[in-house]
Amino acid sequence: MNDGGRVLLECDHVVKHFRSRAAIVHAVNDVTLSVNAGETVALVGESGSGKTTVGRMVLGLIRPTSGTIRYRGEPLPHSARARPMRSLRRHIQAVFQDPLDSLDPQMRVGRAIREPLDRMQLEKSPADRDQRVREVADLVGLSASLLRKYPHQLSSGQQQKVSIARALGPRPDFIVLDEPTSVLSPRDRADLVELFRKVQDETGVAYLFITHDLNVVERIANRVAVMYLGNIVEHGAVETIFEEPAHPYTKALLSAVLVPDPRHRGKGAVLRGEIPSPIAMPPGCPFASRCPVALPMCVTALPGLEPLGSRASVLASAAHPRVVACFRAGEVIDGSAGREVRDQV
Amino acid sequence: MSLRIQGLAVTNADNPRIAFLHDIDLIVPDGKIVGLVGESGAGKSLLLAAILGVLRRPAHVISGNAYVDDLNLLALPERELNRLRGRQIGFIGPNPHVLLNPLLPVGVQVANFLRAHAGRADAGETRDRVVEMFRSVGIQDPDSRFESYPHELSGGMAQRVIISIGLISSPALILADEPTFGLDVTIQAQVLELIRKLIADAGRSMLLVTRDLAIVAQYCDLVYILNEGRMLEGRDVVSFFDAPGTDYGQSLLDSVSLAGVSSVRGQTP
Repeated sequence: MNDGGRVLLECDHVVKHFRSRAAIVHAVNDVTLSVNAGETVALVGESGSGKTTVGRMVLGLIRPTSGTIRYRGEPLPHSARARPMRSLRRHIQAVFQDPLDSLDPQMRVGRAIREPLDRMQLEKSPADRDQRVREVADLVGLSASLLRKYPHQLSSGQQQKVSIARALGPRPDFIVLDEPTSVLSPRDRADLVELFRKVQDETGVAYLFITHDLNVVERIANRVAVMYLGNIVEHGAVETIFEEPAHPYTKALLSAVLVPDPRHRGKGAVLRGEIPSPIAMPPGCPFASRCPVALPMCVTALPGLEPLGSRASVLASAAHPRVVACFRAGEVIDGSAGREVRDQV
Repeated sequence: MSLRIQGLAVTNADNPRIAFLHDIDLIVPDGKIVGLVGESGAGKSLLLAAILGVLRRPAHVISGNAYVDDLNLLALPERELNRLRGRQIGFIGPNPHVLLNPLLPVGVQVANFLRAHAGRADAGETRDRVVEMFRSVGIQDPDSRFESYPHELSGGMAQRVIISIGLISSPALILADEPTFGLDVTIQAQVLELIRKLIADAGRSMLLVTRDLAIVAQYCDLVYILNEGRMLEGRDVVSFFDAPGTDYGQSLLDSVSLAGVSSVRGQTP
């Protein structure tokens, strides 16, 4: 696992369209993304942005309509049931949103953690598998007595720890975390974020962290990709983007985060309306219908993801320059378009 | 309309030694939004159920009063309570897809609610009121949304239907239980902004149950902290965020502050 910095996962112009009766749902339109060993990349966006579909493709659960996904340089097998995909399973694991949906209600949680080890015949012997179950339970902080319980007997924070231990059992080097904290209370959420960090420090696992919770992103991710209506609209280092968002959607998303400080009350909702239907895709920028700084051209022309001009931030992270899909990114950053954003609210 | 809870205690009817809520005092002044904060299992929803007279066995109230203006809800006969609930007192729950009937169009559900509480009314007039309500809570194209089934709505839209039910009979006091839980941040901001506006415009008051202190900081005037069935503190929001009066309050604050992650461990028993 000592291959920090090496590219583990690459999504290259990945597209996923679902056919629904006569219509085509444009779930993911063009996603290019990479995750290096040992790092955390956050994929953020509202419900309907396509972020979970990306996660499902990365896990090999569904196939892209076009584009390729490579793991350690090799394209993912075409079928989730194919033998090569099965051997990849131990390297790529997943933790989903609701632990009660992903755990078998009739299986004691210790067995649930052990099941993938048995299925994949990992570790040398059954005794070693028991040992591995104890190790991962220990790593996530589940006591031996809890392992004998059924999922419904645990709190939701503990249930999610079971899902994490189960994912860690096969010693993966990459885990897709799909909204793993969104059904938890704020305190459990904070605990779990700490746990993800600790696990990463100790095992060197990489995460694709899919979430709509920007507080969590700031605490855990190295890089963030912001998705809107199936497209990545901004992508770069977390510090850069959180300090100086260049896409009006990123800016709106960040300003919608409630600050736990009554002396700094926000001016209220920044965005009106909801994410448009992915069936009738607008021809121009997908965000134009809700964008406070849209120009007439934004409705007709689709801005591509471009590195952000001559800004210092480009140089600061040359390996992963910040890219933005907005004709007015420069103005959003220097505030000239931002003033309009505020004026219109 | 104000709410004044005094010495409310809820125990297990089968085993009175098990107490769910101990001697709760809480005041929602006229025209204010009051946050009630606690973790899962603290007794927040139970407190709302006790006020509304919908506790389920074995939980039952053994002492205390809950005054809405001068009426003690806990001493009212069921018939009179029914006249208050849904008319003077509105309720907004979490999780719209659980609260809504999947087999009825959402407009019909709101219209049924209105008829049940506002008495007989002309069908066309009822429909007009529902559509008007949908419009004011920001449901786009409210006339055709009247006919939509719950599964055809996004979480944010379905939550607006729940808010419509809570507000349509113009209640003076609103009890809201995690009204934005699970919504996207942008939609959460829209929904909370909407509730705040609807409350401010009509001089209503609200008790807002949440686990999220950021919501309290942004939207509430007063905050009460409930833990394991006991009310630990209740005060104005600014002074709470400046310096909570209890270690527990401080630990809640620590768990949401961007700088630090929770220092207090452990589960609600």
